[in-house]
Amino acid sequence: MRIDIHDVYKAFEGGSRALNGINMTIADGELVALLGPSGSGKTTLLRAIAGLENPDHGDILFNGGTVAGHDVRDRKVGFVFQHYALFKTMTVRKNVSFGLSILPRKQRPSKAAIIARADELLHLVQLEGLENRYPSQLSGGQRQRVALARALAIEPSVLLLDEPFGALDAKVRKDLRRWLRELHDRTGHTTVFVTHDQEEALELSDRVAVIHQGRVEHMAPPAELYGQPATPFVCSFLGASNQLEVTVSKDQVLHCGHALPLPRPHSITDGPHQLFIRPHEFQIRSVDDQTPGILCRVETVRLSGALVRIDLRFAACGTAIEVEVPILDFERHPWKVGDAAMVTIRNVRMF
Amino acid sequence: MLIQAHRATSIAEGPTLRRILLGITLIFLTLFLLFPLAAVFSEALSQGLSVYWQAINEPDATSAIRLTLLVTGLSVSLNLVFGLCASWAVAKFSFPGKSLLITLIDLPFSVSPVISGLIYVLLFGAHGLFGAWLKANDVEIIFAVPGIVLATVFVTLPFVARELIPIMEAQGRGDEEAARTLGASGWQIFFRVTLPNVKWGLLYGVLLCNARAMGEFGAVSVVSGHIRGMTNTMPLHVEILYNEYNFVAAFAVASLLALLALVTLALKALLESHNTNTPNAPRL
Amino acid sequence: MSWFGSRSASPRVIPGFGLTLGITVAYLSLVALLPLAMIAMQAFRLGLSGIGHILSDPRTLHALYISFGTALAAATVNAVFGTLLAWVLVRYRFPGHRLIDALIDLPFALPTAVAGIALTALYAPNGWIGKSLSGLGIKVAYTPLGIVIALIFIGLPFVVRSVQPVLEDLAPEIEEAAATLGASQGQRFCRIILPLIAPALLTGFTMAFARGVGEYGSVIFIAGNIPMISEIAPLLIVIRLEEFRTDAAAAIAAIMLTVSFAILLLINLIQAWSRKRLGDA
Repeated sequence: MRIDIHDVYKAFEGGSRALNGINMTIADGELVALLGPSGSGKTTLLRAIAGLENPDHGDILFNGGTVAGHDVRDRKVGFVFQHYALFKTMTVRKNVSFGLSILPRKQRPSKAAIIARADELLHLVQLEGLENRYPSQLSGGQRQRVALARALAIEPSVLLLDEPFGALDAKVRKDLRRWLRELHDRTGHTTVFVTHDQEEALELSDRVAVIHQGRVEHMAPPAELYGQPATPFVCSFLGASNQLEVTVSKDQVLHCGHALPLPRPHSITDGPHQLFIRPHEFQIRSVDDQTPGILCRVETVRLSGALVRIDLRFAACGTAIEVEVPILDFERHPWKVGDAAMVTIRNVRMF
Repeated sequence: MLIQAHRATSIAEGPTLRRILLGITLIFLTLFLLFPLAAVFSEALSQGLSVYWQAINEPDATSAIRLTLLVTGLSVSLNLVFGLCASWAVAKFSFPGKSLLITLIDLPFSVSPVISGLIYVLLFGAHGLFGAWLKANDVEIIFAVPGIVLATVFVTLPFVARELIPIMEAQGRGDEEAARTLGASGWQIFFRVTLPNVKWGLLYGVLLCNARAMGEFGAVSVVSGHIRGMTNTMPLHVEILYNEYNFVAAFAVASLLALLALVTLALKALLESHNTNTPNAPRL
Repeated sequence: MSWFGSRSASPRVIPGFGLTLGITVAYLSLVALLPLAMIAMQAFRLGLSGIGHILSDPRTLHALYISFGTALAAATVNAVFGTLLAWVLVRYRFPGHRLIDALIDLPFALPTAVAGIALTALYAPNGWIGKSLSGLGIKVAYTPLGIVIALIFIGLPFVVRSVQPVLEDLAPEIEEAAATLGASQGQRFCRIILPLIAPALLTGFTMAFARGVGEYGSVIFIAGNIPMISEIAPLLIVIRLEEFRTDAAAAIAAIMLTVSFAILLLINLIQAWSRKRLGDA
């Protein structure tokens, strides 16, 4: 199902704006992440799609038809809550079959059919054998999958997940993430999930919407979002960045006397700007290489798995930058604190 | 009237249903709480203030008030000491049989007031276990003040302990152990560390204990003998006046007890706002 | 719950263990346990046949029937209205909210004799409420219905104060989850909320019931105390005592205590079972 969101505003009691003019379109079968810092409005947006919040202004359309005024019950959204919200007085099977068991008698499948459907879903989420357990007897990851099966049972037109992996430990998180992607590819539900974890958003989704202060800052496929962020916020929010104050005049980018590369393609006006450089976009060489570059001094060296993080300072004006070097390169040239180094820049973004 | 749903969520019940539910609630509360309360004061003042004043100032009434204060003072003090000892032992140490002890402390709550009086009659009454011995030694317990105190002590025994045990348990023993390492004696620890930590809970327990002690009727009624001016507490005096069809006087004395209840409720609300840890648990 | 806590291995740093535990156990035994044991002793002396004889008195049987029956009726009414009250107090904000919340405990604070005469004044045939009810042909005072009214008053706070904290702790997501799955308001209440508050509701109900069975002060004024009609068991104990039939009084007390303790034990078991099953997921 396709979801269109038009100019949605929502203010909370006390006047704080949770949603501040949201516009987006989610294609049928797409897996979209709503990514943003806490308090950015991403959960409110998800709840507005579900019908758990009523927007003050704007419209939400499912397959082109407005759902304004449609009760949560009638929207047929599968909603997975952050803390799962399982019914603890019911067994796993009862939880999953709840949505079917409360249908009006005319539409309700037979008891046997409901059980069969629940068990089929429990098979899908790999929880066979736990049908008669209570939620308190399950692990976090298992509860998460029960919540998912419960949401899928009503054959939702769209699946909405609020911080689906937020309450899980790192290992389970990774497994479930991969598994959710597979499940999505198999079932083809339009899926929207909220996360504050950029790695999760970039790895899992077809497109990511970065939400900030109740607005969509940038919505794009992960590679584009990372490579060509639309705003400074997106650039600094996604991944590490070195931020330099520069002056542009006549196609020259200047920072304390050094000429830095110009982003391409660009439409930059003359004057002061901000330059963003990712740690892996620097190249660092020995000074005796005779190549041009910025003369720097090594301040600290930190080993971090397959990468080495090196803090450097521009010799000319003391600007601090962080550079990432693959461990193999580092083994070829083991930098030490105090070393002089020539730094060149491969790629930049400017706003 | 403005009725807001406490939690803003689009799935809360609609305003109409909300109004209906609140309406039913208010009618129920008016019928069962406000009317009885209003009835006490309106009956008491139905013949005017001077009659009211006379009814309270009459010698039998004042002696009932004095006895009630005496009995309450004694039983609250005794149960205060007990409550402090019990909560200290239970919260600061582990020992076998602890849960059983806690259960036994709560026991008086589940015993009918009449039975609470009866057990002392069985012990100390004329035909009771110690009845003959007491008579031979000229000691009066039943139909005398000691019996009234005992019955009141029994009925109000759990209040202070029950309030203090969870609070002291929640606070653990870290503060006391720290004070010990600093060289404090047992009494110093108690008065300077523990007591300040639990003072609001302690006051709360004493308040509830006091209210129940002043108002206890069934247990006291069984052991008192209803001797006017001698073994008549305020609630018993209310009964006697009522059964003599002296309604105004009965309600006048009753209004004092009702005032006590209102003051208790007000102080209780005050203490609860002071100490949000105070459990709002129901008690018999 | 185990009856025996584990013995602490470390030496006791904090002083006063022997003193406080000694005073606690001695006081509890002298003031409460020894006197209560008298009931058991008396019942033992009577033996089963003796108790059976006293029980076979129709007046005793009827008094027990009235005490348990009216307490059950009142506790049921309180279960319904107590839940409603707790709901309104937790979910709605309205002028007077705090006042009403404080007033709920009035039955705990108001001496029972005062409640008794106040309710009698209200429900007597010439009282504020009694007058209009007798116009409808309903007699409250001096009938078992009057006893039920008094016990509703006495038991009112139990259900409210048991259910209120559970409702407060109920995560809104639970209801929202049910709503997204298509549950109507009624379905959400009956199938989600009611099972969640059921243990607390049961506790409150039982406490109200236990209190009602033993209640004396608030009942004897409004009941009229007519043998075989509106005479309650606690009153019969008092009457037997005044007749110097201590045995009969103790026998009735023993029966009441046994039933009350059995009910409390049952409730504790149900609570433990539900805690174990539901955990804190």
